[in-house]
This record gives sequence, structure tokens and C-alpha cells, in this order.
Amino acid sequence: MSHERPSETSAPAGLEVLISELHIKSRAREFDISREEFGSILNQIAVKYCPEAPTGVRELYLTLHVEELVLARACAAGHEKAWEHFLVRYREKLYEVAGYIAKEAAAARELADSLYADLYGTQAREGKRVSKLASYTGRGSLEGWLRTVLAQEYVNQYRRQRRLVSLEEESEEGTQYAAPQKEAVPGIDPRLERATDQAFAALDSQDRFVLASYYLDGRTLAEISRQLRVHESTISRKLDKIAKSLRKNIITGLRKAGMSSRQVEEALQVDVRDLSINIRNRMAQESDRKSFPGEKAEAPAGDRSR
Amino acid sequence: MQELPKVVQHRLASGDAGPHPDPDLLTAFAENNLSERERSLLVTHLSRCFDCRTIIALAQPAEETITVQAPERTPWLRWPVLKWGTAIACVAIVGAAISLYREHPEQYTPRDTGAAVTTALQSPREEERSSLNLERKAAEQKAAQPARAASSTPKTDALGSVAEKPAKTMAMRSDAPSSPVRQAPESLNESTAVRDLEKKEAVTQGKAKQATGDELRAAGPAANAGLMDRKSHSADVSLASSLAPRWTLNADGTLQRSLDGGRTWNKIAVSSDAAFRVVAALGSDVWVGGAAASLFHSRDAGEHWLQVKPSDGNHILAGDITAIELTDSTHGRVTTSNDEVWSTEDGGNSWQQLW
Repeated sequence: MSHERPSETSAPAGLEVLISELHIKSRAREFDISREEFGSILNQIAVKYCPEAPTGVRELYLTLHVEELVLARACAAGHEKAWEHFLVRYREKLYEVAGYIAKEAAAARELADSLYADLYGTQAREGKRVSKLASYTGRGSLEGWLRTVLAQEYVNQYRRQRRLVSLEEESEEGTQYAAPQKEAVPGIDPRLERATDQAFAALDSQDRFVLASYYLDGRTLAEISRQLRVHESTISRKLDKIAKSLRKNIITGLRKAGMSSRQVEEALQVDVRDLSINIRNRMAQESDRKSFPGEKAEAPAGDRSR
Repeated sequence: MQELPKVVQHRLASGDAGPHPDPDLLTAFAENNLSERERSLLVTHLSRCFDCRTIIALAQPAEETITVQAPERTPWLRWPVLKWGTAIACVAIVGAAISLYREHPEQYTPRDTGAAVTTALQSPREEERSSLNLERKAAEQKAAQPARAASSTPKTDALGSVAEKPAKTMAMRSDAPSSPVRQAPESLNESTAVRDLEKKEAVTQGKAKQATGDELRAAGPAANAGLMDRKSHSADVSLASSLAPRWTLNADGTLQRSLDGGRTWNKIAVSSDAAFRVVAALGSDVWVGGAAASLFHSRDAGEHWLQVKPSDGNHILAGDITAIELTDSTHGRVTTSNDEVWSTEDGGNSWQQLW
């Protein structure tokens, strides 16, 4: 049995009926999106999310929010009626969500305005208006997507602001108030590193996510439980269990590596901030990392309103 | 919670997370709309990527808050006032009753009781006035006829003067049947206006204190019983308001109800296979909705449930229910995950799709 990679123009075999049904369900005709155009949009999504085999395409199509997908694509294409619908449904929510994320009125307004401009597509490239809405694929609800994009934009703005340090601050930080050079201290014991890495390797990704959310990000049990859709008490028990087993596995690893009980205790009590880890280099690497791509798919510039 | 050694936390923070997922995948993760494989890959990324975890957390909608509308009440009629008012009124009544039994057990007549009951039914201001009149009259008569006062009790005189006064109280008494002792409790039960007066009376502690010994003596045991009824009625009112049911949904979409102001919560079995996302309540009308168009309605604060399947001619509500808004017991609106908006104007019997 051979698996054909779906092309961006033709629908995977046997899905024609489903696409027709979804086309009707999505009310694409209200926004002048034909059956063929709709099929092409779905096909692009299938290529993006099921590139290897077409087996999961049907399930993928069935989980798509097709009505919102059509609305977003029609807005991206400049359809006037679609924009009216979009504004009625989402404009107010957009500002509400921005307020919830930014917590401060002026910043929230700026955040929402910035995204709104991106959604509308104020920039044109090669005669085509670029709208962020064209990148929406209907995997989640449009409202949820707007929330995520707003949150992403907020994180990007925060990163940008941190990088733009004024010259005065830079000179103060760099010359006048330069911190004294710390004496070199020994690094983490490689045996501890190995034991910790081995203990982490035994965790599944969800356990690691729970640990990171709680211990690194300071999220509450309620927040984590909502993200993973399990009960708060389950997260509490899981955290306790993971932390205990992690500690136990590390201690076992250190013992195997020849450490005495006293050395193990001392190794685990070492504060990483006291060690000679090259934090500056690590930070530099992190800031070199690209911020979230503000990818804006291209959409035809023509006004399709009737 | 177990403490994690700093070294372990540091190792937890390190590691390459790889390329960031697009907002669609993050949204689908937050809405539990990913395949197992995709979810597993995304959780692996999230476990190593602080930024994406932050985005997921920021993009999470605010926790659903359910407000159960309490019946309107005047601002001064609050629980502390009710509580202390009831307690003080109770003490005053018991004290007065004890003194009545000890001092003048022979003077309890049906007629006196009727006077006291009608006095109690007056507005607080009228009650104050009549109370002051009673005291003044008694004092005047004591001063003018000390001998008479010695031969007959001041209470009889006071009541006599009340009986002679052509006041509103008297008009009520004259209209009343010949046996006011038996009639008074009935009128208390029947008239809602009277109940309102009773509530006001119960909570105004100053006025309760002004219920003089003379009046209470005139009231007799039957009136005391009436006052006790009123006291317990006030307590019932306050208890009922504090027991207004509160509703919430737990993380796995089970409906929960609290009858003690949120101290304890009980799971309410609505449907075995429905995972609810939203609940709205207005008085005893409760609506709960969730995945796969599951929508249930209870008219009796969660005792009985009826599944509602909104349809508008050919179209049937099909998505997950994400919001329920109630304007009153008959008007409501339901929003679905595919952004359909349905409304009803007859308590859920018929539906109209707005979007």
C-alpha cells in the first residue's frame, strides 16, 4: 500500500463528499467562496498538518472549525460582509482579551490595535494585501486563536522592549556600575549532571511539563489543571510523586557513581546560582533565538464584497 | 509540596525545545482539539519552552464565574442586621414573657391579646407612637388617680385607653371578628404585607427594645406565640437567603451545587456521558451545557433535569456549548463553539438561530 503525499491543489481521494458537506456547513457561499476554493484551502491545511500520509486527513477535516475558517479567509480576502461579521463577533472580545493579557489599559489598547492592524493587513506585498487571518487554519476556535496570537504578540513586545535598552542605561550597566568579576568557582559535578539527566530521561513529557509549569513558571495547581484538563488534586498528587521519584532516582544515580550519602546531600543542596555556569552566554544564546514568527500569509488584495 | 533541588530546577530549565509551534496548534492544545500524536509532540515542546508555556497561560480564558442572582433586598436588610436583630428580639420577648407569667398571670384576656397583635401589625413608626402614648397615658393616670391605680393594674388602664382611642389600630380591631386570638395568626399567615412588616420589625433592634413591658403584658401568651412565630419566620427568611444554591463546574465538567454558601459542594448527576463547560442560573432555573450540544435545564434548582435539543426548522444545534446567557426565566441565549448563537423566548420550548 503506497501513501501519496497530498498535493496542495488536489483533494485526497475519497474526501470529495466530505468536503462538499463541510462546504455547505461552513456557509462559505455567503462569503463567495466556491466549493473549489474551499477544497483548496482544506487541502493546504492537510498538507501542513498531515504531510506524511493521508490517513488522518478525514479526522483532521472533521475537527476543523470550518465556519470560522471560512470567515477568516474571507476577511483576509477583503470581503466586506465577512468583516462586518468579524467585527460584530470579535472586535469587542479582542480588546477584552488584550486587557486581560496586558492588565494595563494603554498597553492593552496598543496590543489590540497592533494585532487589529495585522489582521486587517495594512501592509501590501507585490500587490497583495497581507493579512494575518490568512494563516488561521481552524484547528482551534477563532476566538482562541486570537487569544493565542495576542499572547504571542505580547511576549514578542516584551522581548523587544527588553532588548531596546537606552544608551544611558547601557553605559551605566556596562561601565559605571559594572559588577565586580566573580571569582571562578568549580562547576556542577558531572556525576550530578549525568544523574539528573538520567532521572529526567525517565520522565514523560507531560510530567516534565507539570514540573516546569509549577517549579519554573510558578503556575498554580488550578492553572496547570485547566491546561491539562485534569482535576487539581490529580496535579497535586502527580507533582508530589514526580518530585519524590526524581529525587530518589538522582540519589540512586549519584550513589552508583560512587558518592557517599554526605556527598549526595551536599550535591543536592548546591545552589546553581553559586556555580560557574556561564549565564551570560546562555542569555545571549536565548536572545539570539528568533522571536515568534509574525508570519503573514498572503491573500489576494481584491475586494470581493458584492 | 516537595521542594525540588535548585540544581534539578536548573537542569529542568535547560535543553533545546526546537521550533515553536504555530498559534493554531497552541490554540488546539488549549481547546483539547489535537490528535494524540500531535498533543504528545506539543507537550514535549512545552515542557522545554518557557515562552510557549507563557503564551498558553496568557491565552487561557479567565475562569468562568457564575453569579447566582439573589432576590432584591433593601441595602439595610443584611445578614448581620437580621442575625443580631433576631437575637435581641428573641431575648426581649423571652424576658418579657417570663416577667408576664410571674407578675400578672390572671390578666391575660383574649381582648388584650388582640390589641397587642394589632399593635404589632402597625408600622414601626406607628408602633413607636402608640408605645409612647401608652406610657404617657399610664403615667398621667397614675399621677391623677393613685388610689385607682392601686386597686387596678396599670396594664388594664393602659389597654383601656388604647381600646378607647379611635386610632387605626382600633379600626382594625373593630373590623376583626369577635375572637381575635384565633384570627390573628391566620391574618399573619395570609397577608404578605403583614409579613413584610414583621420582617422589618424583627430586624429593627431599637424598636424591639421599645416594646415595653406594658404592651407585652397586654399581648399575653398567644401574642407571644405570634411574636415567636414572627421571629422564627425572620430566621427562616435569613436562612433561605443564605441557602440560595450556588453552582460551579469542576475540571472534568461535572456540575456541582452548594447549599451552604460555597462551603461544601455536591456533585449533581445530570447526564452520565455529558462533559459540561458552562452553567447559568437564575433563581431556581438552572441551565448547563457542554460538549456535543449537550444542554440541560432544571426548573427546580437542580432536582430534576430535562435535556433540551435546540433546533430551528432544518438546522439543529450541533457544536459544543460555550456560553449561556439568561435574561429572565423565559429569555435566554446559547453560544456554541462553532459560533452559532441560539435564543429562546419561552424558557427553552422553542429556539431560533440568530447566527
